[in-house]
Amino acid sequence: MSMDKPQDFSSRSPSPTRSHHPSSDSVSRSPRPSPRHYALSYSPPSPSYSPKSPRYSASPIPPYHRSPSSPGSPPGQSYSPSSPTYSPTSPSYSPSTSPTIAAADDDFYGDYINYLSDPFNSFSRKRSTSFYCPFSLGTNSQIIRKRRTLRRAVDSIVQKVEVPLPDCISSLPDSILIHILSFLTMEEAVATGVLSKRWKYLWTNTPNLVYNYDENKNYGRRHLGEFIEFVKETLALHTCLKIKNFVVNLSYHPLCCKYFDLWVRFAVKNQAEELVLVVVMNELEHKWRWRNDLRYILPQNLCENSFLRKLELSMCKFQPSSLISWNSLTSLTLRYVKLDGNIIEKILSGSPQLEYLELCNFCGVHRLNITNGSVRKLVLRDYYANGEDSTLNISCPNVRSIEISGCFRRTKRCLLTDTDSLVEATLDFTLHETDNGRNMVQSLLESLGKVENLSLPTWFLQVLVKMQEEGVLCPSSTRKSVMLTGMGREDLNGIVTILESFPILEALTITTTTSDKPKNLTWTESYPKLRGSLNCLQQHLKTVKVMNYGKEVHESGIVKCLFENGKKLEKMIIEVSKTVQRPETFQQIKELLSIPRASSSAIILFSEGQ
Amino acid sequence: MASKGNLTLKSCNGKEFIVEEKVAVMSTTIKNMVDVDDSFAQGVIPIIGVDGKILAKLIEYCKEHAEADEDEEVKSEEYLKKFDEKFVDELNLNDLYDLLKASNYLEITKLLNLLCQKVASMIKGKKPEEIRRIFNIKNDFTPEEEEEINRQNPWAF
Repeated sequence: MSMDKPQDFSSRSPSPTRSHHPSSDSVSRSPRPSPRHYALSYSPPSPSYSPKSPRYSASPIPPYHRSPSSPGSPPGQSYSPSSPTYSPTSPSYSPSTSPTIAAADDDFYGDYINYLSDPFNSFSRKRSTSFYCPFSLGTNSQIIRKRRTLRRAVDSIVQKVEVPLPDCISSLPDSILIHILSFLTMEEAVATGVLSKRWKYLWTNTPNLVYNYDENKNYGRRHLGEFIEFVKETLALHTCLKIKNFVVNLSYHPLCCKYFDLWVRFAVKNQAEELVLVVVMNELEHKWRWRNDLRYILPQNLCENSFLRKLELSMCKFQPSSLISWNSLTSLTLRYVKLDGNIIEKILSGSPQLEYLELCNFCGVHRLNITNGSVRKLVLRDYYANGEDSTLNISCPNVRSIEISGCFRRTKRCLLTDTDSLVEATLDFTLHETDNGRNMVQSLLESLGKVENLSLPTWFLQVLVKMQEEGVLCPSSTRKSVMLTGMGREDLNGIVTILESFPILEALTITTTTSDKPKNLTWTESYPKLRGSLNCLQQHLKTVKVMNYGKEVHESGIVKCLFENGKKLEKMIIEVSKTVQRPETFQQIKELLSIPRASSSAIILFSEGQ
Repeated sequence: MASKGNLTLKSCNGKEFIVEEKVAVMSTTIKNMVDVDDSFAQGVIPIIGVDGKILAKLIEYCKEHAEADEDEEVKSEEYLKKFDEKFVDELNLNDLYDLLKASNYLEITKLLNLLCQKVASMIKGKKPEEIRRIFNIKNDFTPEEEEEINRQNPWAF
């Protein structure tokens, strides 16, 4: 290829054939453009260059038709951009084999640079004509000088231009490309069909079908209808016989149940390992659903399936007569579901491998007996206690981790029994009827007394403070560690209460909230309480971790208090929130280092959080 | 010659690497070879179509992961995640393709997933024109054909 010897051009003597160009002398006194000008004007290609460009209009011969008619070059062998012999791979392109090319040196250089910057891509005529050559044509000596300048320009471009790669990705085997597509959502995978012919139908083979409806991106029912059409159409074209994941996330649509039937059949037919049908509902629709009880009745062929490993369903209903057999199922999530004790028992006995069970927006059940020995994690979110009884009894003899979150309606009490295996409990729920708070706090703290990692929501602290003020004893505990989530400015008394309620607490983790809550309490009010000789601070508390540091202003006060009073304190870990940019936070951090410490061995550690 | 417990892998351009067996059997293909035929365990295993540079990269990856599988304390999940991130970030496109092909051929599932995910992340959220430019894919559709595809799937484009 000619690109490795650009010096060939300059070694050639200036060609007398230049004289064919009548316009060259008339504009010879125009200033010579600098190489910098040249390089700059190349990128991006100027649209002003065309045979009709005013710069060339001085020439009676259009620039591309100079060579064939020029006296110095034999006809037929001449260089012309439009000639079929002009192509990067053609031998006639090489200057050593084509002496007549000198006739169109400037053009040649222009195209040559074009070619250098894009040797593999379409070196089409369209591209080369879009090149803008700012040189005027001059006398012989000027031409020599121009050529040197040009050479320098070419050299500098040769050094700078990174040669693009050929289309290697399309030469990868189908299996790899399909594997790549399997990491995309269907929307993105289908969009690759327009890249090239190679990619047109690749997406029809992807084993992971993930459809996500983004309400923020597309609004309105009409768009939801289009989205559902898209799911239907792409499923019709899909050819992979064995699919892995089939996921549809969408907003509530009145015809959801109708589509569910189609999608469930598709998943069962293709032996899907993961079937996820998530419906997002707003509060209004939610209420309507509860009243009207319009649900999708699960077909028997889904209830007896040995391929499924993960199943997430929304708005479904189990037929009382249906048999459940999910031999491979490890993870089950049910949303907007009406259950009864009988169904729960059937599900648990029919899924011997089940490890993860999540119930969201569920009702109709007051007793959850997780008898299945394999279940390790139980998640309960948004519960509605319908009927007379407003107590939720949970028995979880083998569960290691439990999470209770969302909003609990009409729920007076939540009783957890058989909690011996529990190591982790995350409570992050709210009560719709706040009057029930005290019962709830008491019953839960009692049943979770032995759990190693306990995370409590803020309102627990508020209830505890109130109970303390009224002289009601908080359920005492032999707890050694506790985690408090969503700490706000007003929760300081709660911390004091926690330290009093858990007299042998050794590790305390505080996560502060980002929300702006009303500022009921100021710092000075809670200081005296902390200064009291708290047994915990005096003898036990060793590790304190403050997460999300910097989001709330009062945290430095907490740290200060604990440092000043914690006689056994060994470690204070501060996880500074990544998003915090406030200068005063850094000032606070500096101040933290100089706080006097009651414990001589106390150290402070900083880490970067989220 | 490789000592006991070690295997010798030979790249297509003749470079030899002595690696621990636990590292080499991260590749299902090599594992099957060693399991079926004992002579491989003593002799040299030729890795067809994979050159020295790519093979060195593969071994670097497998070594970290094999060690992590063995001792979770020293190489935690977090450490591995960071290693993986750095590993794929340092690759240029050519190496990425070569590694994709090699890990596919050698059936190193974890690495194949990692690399495919990397490519997928380069495609995610981009317009077709951008994707073509990144991977230098030549658009061989006529404008009419392209318009037709766009029309067929209004949701995706």
